[in-house]
Amino acid sequence: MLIATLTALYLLFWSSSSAPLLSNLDQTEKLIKANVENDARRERALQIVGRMKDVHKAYWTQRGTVSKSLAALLETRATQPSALEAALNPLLADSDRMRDQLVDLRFQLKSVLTASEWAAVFRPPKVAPSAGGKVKFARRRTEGWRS
Amino acid sequence: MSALALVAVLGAFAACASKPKPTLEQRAEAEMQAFKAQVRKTVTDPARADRLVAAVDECERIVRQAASMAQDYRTKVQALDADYSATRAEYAALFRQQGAQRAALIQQALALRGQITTLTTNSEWEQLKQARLSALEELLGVVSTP
Repeated sequence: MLIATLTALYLLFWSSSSAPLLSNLDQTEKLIKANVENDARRERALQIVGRMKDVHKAYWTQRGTVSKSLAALLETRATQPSALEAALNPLLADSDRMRDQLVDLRFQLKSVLTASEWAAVFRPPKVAPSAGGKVKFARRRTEGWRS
Repeated sequence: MSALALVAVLGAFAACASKPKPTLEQRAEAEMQAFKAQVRKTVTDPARADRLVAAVDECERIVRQAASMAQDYRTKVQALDADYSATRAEYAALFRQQGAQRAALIQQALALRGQITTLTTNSEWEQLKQARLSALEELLGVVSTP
């Protein structure tokens, strides 16, 4: 029942911690090239973004595998909640590790850029975080680097 | 093609062109109604059908809550990313909060699926499991991809 919908839901659980840290890396790269004048620091910053892109590739590869394995578990009526949870937990741990890796890279990048360069590359969100509320069915806009 | 046929074709084309495309929200509502009707058609026991329809409503609630949680987390991450002075402790606090919300929703989703499997026979499960709620899937896809 609703296997595709449930799979999408569980995939969201899997991806929710790391996905927001992976958006718009091409834009980040472009803004670093435009705003960091010092050659050595610019190259170092681009190398770090390159490593973020490696994580991005790994994310997409893993996402396909995770989606298939979750769908297989969810469509079998006999799968018990405990079995599903046991399968999901290591996947969540992997996603959190990916997230932590990206945060490490974020702080490496900070050590390379000045505050003014950072402000030129990374834009704050236009909408303030909310405590909840009804979901708006609107496609997310991409802005800044990791929108 | 006769003139009359041409007028009919052009009329139909104009009608299609002027009809506004349903929003994602409208599609979601229409799909939910259609799926609930399918549940009632498949599950002939009215008491079980009622409970399954309630489970479908609960599924929609969890999906919307999960999407809302993911969107809010995304905005908070973006705010920290943009803040040059943000600390690791601030990221860690956000991750703890997101982890707790995620764990609570996972428990709800696991319980819901368990409830659905209990309420259906093998044959009903096979008939209903292929149903698609593409608008809800689209919503979840939007918030789960970088």
